[in-house]
Amino acid sequence: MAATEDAEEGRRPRAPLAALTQAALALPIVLASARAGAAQVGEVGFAALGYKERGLIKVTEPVLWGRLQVDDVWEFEASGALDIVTGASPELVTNLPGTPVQSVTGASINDRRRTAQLRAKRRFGDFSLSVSRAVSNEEDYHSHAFAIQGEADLDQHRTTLAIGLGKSNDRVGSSIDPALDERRDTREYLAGVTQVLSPLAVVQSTLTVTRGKGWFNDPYKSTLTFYPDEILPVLFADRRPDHRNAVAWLTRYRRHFPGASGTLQADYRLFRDDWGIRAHTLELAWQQDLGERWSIRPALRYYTQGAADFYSPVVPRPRPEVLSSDQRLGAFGGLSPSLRLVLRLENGLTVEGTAGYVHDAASLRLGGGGSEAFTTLRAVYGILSLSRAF
Amino acid sequence: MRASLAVLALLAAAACTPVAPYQRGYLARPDMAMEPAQAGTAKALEKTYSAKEAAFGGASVGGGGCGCN
Amino acid sequence: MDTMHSRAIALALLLAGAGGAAPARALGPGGALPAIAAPRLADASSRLALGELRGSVVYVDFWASWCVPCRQSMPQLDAFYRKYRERGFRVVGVNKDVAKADAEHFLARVPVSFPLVADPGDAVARAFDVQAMPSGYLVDRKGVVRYVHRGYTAETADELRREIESLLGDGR
Repeated sequence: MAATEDAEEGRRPRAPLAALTQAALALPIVLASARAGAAQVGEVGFAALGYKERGLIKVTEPVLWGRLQVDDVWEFEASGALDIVTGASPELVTNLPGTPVQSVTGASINDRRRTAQLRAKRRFGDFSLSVSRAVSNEEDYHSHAFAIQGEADLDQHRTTLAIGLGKSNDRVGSSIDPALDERRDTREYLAGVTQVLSPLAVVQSTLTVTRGKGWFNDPYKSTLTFYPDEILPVLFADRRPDHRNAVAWLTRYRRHFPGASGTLQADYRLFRDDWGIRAHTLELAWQQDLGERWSIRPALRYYTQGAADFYSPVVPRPRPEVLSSDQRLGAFGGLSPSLRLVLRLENGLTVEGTAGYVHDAASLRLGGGGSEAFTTLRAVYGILSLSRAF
Repeated sequence: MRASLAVLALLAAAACTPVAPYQRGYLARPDMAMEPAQAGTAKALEKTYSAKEAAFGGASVGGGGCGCN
Repeated sequence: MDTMHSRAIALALLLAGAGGAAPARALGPGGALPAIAAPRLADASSRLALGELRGSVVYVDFWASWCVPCRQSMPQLDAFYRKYRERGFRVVGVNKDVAKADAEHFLARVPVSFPLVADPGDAVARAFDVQAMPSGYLVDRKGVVRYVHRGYTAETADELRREIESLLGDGR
């Protein structure tokens, strides 16, 4: 399997992604050559995603990853992915028909995004330190991220504390405006605790603070507003603040029920930023064993967000400094049920198939008050993932 | 404030039954992991949602950004 | 009212502390090999009593399929067992998996020849007060614990070889 992946990736040489991806693919080779010495465990995997909404098709193909643990001291992880997006992208919100609607331009997008990530972790007794590097390249966006994270195991590994620092230096461009070349720099701070509650339950709570500076405007979005008392409409290009500070607080709970051979998985995330957005994400899942090899996992994810202060589907008078009609900054809610089937074989092979449905709508916002201009989104996705443990 | 602190501490005490290092068989199950999907599935899922929503992040740092249209 | 809250906090902290504290009776060098019996992993109707091993140099190893360093320790312990068995060295593997099938899958990939026992009620692990996984207790011919290994790395193997040879009495 590794050999075919190697050949597959070899057809698309591109530095520095290629170098990172090569490192990921070299893992099984390192594993095989050094096996005689230190104890090593690891895995290599492959996943493919298909996503479809009206007028937009997205394929991630392939996600490749590898993980190698040497002697319970070193751990290496690498992954690479290629995203292909084809179809139309919504670009204009106009009130021409009377009420503001999102119009999809005829122009077809065909975007390719390449990403790679590398992580190395070293354990020093009850402490560990990890560094990671991530690179992402697409025609109109380049990102270079770096992170360092420390963890401490306390009380015989019943409690784990984590702190992390990350930074990302991004370049924003545009396929329709070759002159656009702006910076977006982000710093991230993380603090988290994982607590074993009982032999059957564990909880993790993580706080991430993000401070971003630079260009946040979306070069593909604009607002076209007609006024009843004016002949000419106003075309307003998407303009957002030049900073974005956000806090995400994620809490995850896992509880196994031996009698039922099932596990409850509950995740809750609270998000706030200084654009005025407040969002809640709740995901509940139950993973049920079906015999020794199979398990099934039905899940329901609910998402709700309030609008950004500068979100408006029409250009108000007088014209504001910042304004976006991007409906991702509007008020809406989303329900997403999914079903996953997992097959684990004794030889270390794991096959995972996930199918899901996404329904985002103004009416699904918690407590009502969704943005009227929000165009309901319905999408389906499927993910197939294969991995082999060593 | 103090009352809520006391409640939190009591909850913590009640919820934490001592777990010995050898009692981790269930905790080591793959479905007890904080990320219950395989690495590839998790990455693909995260992108699927974050491209359509304003909220982001929470679990880790250093992932980098994307244009995500 | 204030003092009541303070008392509640103090009580809560006390409870939290009591819950987290480990009992101060971890088995260490100089301690006696616990006289305890456990069902064999392959056949629960047959029991293995640690007391019967008196007179041999014994290594009692606590392991599980979910314990990562055990992938390294188990084959090496098996190699020691095969090498020194004739000279009176015994190994007992105490399995801490919650499902017997997990242990069996592990053993299919990492087969060992020394005897294995199950510990469903944690009685054996409690008698040793196991502090880490894996944990190994090297016991001399008189039934006295001489060395304890918590965790397992490449260095553990070297130390263990020297210790076994010295306890077997003809190390040099």
